[in-house]
Amino acid sequence: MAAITLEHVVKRYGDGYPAVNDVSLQIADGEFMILVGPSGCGKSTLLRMIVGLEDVTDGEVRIGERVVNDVPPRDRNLAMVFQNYALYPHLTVFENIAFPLRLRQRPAGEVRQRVEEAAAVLELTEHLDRKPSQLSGGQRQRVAMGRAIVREADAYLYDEPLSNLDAQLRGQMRTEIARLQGRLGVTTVYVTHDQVEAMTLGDRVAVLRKGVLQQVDTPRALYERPVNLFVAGFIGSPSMNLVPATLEGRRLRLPFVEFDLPPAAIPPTSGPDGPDGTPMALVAGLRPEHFEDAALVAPAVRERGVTFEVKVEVVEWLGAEQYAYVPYGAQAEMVEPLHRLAAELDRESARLLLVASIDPASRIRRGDPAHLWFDPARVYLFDAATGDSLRPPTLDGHVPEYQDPAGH
Amino acid sequence: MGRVRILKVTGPVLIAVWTLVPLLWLVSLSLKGGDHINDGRFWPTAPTLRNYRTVFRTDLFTSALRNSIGISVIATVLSVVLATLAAYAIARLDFPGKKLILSVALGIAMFPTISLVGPLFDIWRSVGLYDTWPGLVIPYLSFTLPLSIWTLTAFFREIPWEMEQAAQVDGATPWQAFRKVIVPLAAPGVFTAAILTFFFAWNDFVFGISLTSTGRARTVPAALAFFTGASQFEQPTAAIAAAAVVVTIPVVAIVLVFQRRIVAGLTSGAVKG
Ligand SMILES: Nc1ncnc2c1ncn2[C@@H]1O[C@H](COP(=O)(O)OP(=O)(O)OP(=O)(O)O)[C@@H](O)[C@H]1O
Ligand SMILES: [Mg+2]
Repeated sequence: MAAITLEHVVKRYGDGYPAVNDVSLQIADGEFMILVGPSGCGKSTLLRMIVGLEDVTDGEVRIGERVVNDVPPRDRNLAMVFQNYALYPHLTVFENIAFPLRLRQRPAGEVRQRVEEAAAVLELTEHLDRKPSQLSGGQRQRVAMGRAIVREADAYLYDEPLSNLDAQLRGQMRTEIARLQGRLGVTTVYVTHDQVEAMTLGDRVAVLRKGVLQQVDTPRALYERPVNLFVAGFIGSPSMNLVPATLEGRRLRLPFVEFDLPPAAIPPTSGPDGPDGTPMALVAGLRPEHFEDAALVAPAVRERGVTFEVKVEVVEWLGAEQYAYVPYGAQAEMVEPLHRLAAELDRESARLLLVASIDPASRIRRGDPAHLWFDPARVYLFDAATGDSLRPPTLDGHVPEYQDPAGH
Repeated sequence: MGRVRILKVTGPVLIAVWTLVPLLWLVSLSLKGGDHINDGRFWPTAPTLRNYRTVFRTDLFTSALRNSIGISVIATVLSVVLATLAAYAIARLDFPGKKLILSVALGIAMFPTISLVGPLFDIWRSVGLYDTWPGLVIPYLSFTLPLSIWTLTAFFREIPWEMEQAAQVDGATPWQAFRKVIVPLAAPGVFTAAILTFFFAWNDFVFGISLTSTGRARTVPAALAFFTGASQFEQPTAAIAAAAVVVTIPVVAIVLVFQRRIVAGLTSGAVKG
């Protein structure tokens, strides 16, 4: 087992476009690191550089203490599960899993024993004599995993290993991977698109955007303290409401409500006014789950927050959750940075639609006027031009105590 | 609709009749005794294996059969090995002149064989390749390699890159990855190329007749032209027919044996989808 260190790693393909740009990342021995980002941001490229299938244009990749930039894949002793399995179709499941051991010329007895162990863990025992083409997607997936886990690799790399599975199997395999990692305690790098995998599996999550590392932190820290609009929009499901706003002194004006920020939440950079005396233009971030139907909030709690009237366009009741969608208007030029961000996050466009996750007990109905409640201490503020978080540093590492307004 | 169905039934029947009648006629001819050759009947009245016995008793035929088998097998093995390596490089590596190689290869495959016979005859005489096995293996190679390279390149392109990369990550050297993963996956392509080459060499008449002069290297198609009958006064037609049937048997056998391998989509199940 070994740590993996990337230092100022750059990858340029033939056309000169940097698919990975100056990424520095330390993955500790035994750590489970998640790599997330929109399609084409360079996740696979980064993984392939670690495993040695792609040359490093610039910078350094180390496994343990060893610089491996020029070491061929077979000498790096890493195991990888490919995005599309890459099983050997002419070999049986047994031989697929045994392949790495056969290359190392292990005695037949040992090979049999280890393949059978791996097959038992992955519930593949009864399929050992079949060919990959006779297996279901989930079974193939597990064979690919088996080929990785029979080895005693220094680290395990997964490239969106569950992306082709249906929801149920995905959940099952997710638990399986978490269990394996817990049992073996091996260094793991795991690429995923999936919010749940990102939040539940890893020790830390690295967020990549256009080849540039945005933030590396625990899932909780990413959720609570995103460093910029991109991370804020990417982490969390449903994603954070990003709303054009202006700040004048303490006064934060959103298209649908205005209120005074609590002193602790005021960004340090804001004076009484913006630079040229006008109110400062910002982007405010409001997590759907921080809204509540005002009718369900205890009066004492309601005092602390902001209540505002809305006209709900759509209500989705899912039993355990309930979402209310509220359209709002805003000036075109203020929405511009949001459109740019939406394009980057692969969403069609920034819709001026507030999503509120409210208590399923709420009786808010579509078309009815209703009141929503929000705690101003939980608002995120971002620079409209750069997208950087404007959360005052005093709030770093300290999240205002949140009282569930609905009282559970 | 009805007309389409009629076409669907009659089409294959027509094709089968069209191709099989000459073959049947050949077989029937080979079974006819000396006097019946010109009796104008389709089926032999008194079938006999005499012609086959004659054929196998003549030196001309047995040595030609030996030459045919040897030369065809050597040409096939060499062609397949070389084509596999070349096609792999073309499919996988980026090197200058790749396109050129492919188009030149195609150009060679299109070249009419007959136009080369004259010059080859002269060259082979002066370098001592005339009437030798290599003297035939070399032209067979140069005419079958291009087609083999094209066939195999197409096959290699179909094999996902990741197959090989997975092998490398699993600890294989590039050579091991090629041998243990790529070649088995390209097997249908290799068989196709091998069969095409073998048939080209096996069926060739032009080179066989022009570049040989004795039993040292003369192949069966060429030797057929030198057949005489069982006796000096007999027409050799029936004996030739028997010899032709004998050389057709391996062709049919090979196709039947390898048919499934050629058609089988070995790569299915490799990747998602
Ligand atoms: N072989 C290549 N040649 C040129 N450009 C490439 C090559 N491979 C990838 N790229 C580019 O590099 C960028 C990153 O690609 P990469 O495959 O790493 O993305 P990804 O984050 O894994 O995306 P996905 O989530 O869709 O798998 C993309 O813009 C892609 O177009
Ligand atoms: Mg990818």
